[in-house]
Amino acid sequence: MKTKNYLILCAVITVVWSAILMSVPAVSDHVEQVMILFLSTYAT
Amino acid sequence: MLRIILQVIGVVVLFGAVTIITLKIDNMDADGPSILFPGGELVTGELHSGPDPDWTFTDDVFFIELQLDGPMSSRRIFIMESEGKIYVPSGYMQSFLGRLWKEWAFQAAEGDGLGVARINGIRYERQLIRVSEGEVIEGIAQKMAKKYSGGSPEAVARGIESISNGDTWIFELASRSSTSQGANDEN
Repeated sequence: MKTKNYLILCAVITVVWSAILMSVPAVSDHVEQVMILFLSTYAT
Repeated sequence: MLRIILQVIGVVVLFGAVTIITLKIDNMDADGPSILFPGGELVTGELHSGPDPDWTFTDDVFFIELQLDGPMSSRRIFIMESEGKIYVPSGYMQSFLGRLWKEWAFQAAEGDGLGVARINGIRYERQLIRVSEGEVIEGIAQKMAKKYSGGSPEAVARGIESISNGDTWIFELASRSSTSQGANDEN
């Protein structure tokens, strides 16, 4: 992928993913549960 | 090929960074924490006044919300009642990730420890006092194991060992009036 297209993809991911996290509680809750599981597993 | 691999790694790292930054900013001024990320000041809920209640009701409470006044932030946390007092744990204190995750515990231990606990929607003004030794540890470890780890003798022993070696820190949520009274008595 060319650099220009890659940067556009990164910008789109940033905007869309942050909007989903802020507007869909079920998604952010699930993501946080996964992060807690990761921390509980590897923070020992 | 290398370019594609680096681009994929970049997207994965971007997802992680966007997730952490978004959720942290989204929660930092909220009335209470999210599942993982700290929230802001606990605002809603009746502010308890008068003598402490019988804390055994917290045996049926899995999580509470705990605000630390300095710096102002709140988090979701376990609670254990033992011998009429309530305690909160902070685990993973000796690992790198744990130190990042449980920064509040260092702030509570090094600062004045003033905070507010919101339990079943009622706010209680408390002072966090770290407890690291004494007979009380066994009772706390037993309650912690019973509520959160199945309650086996092995779980109790692991809890006591974890507290004793400093991997798990325990804070008593003491009444502010009792702690200030104690300070006055010493003067």
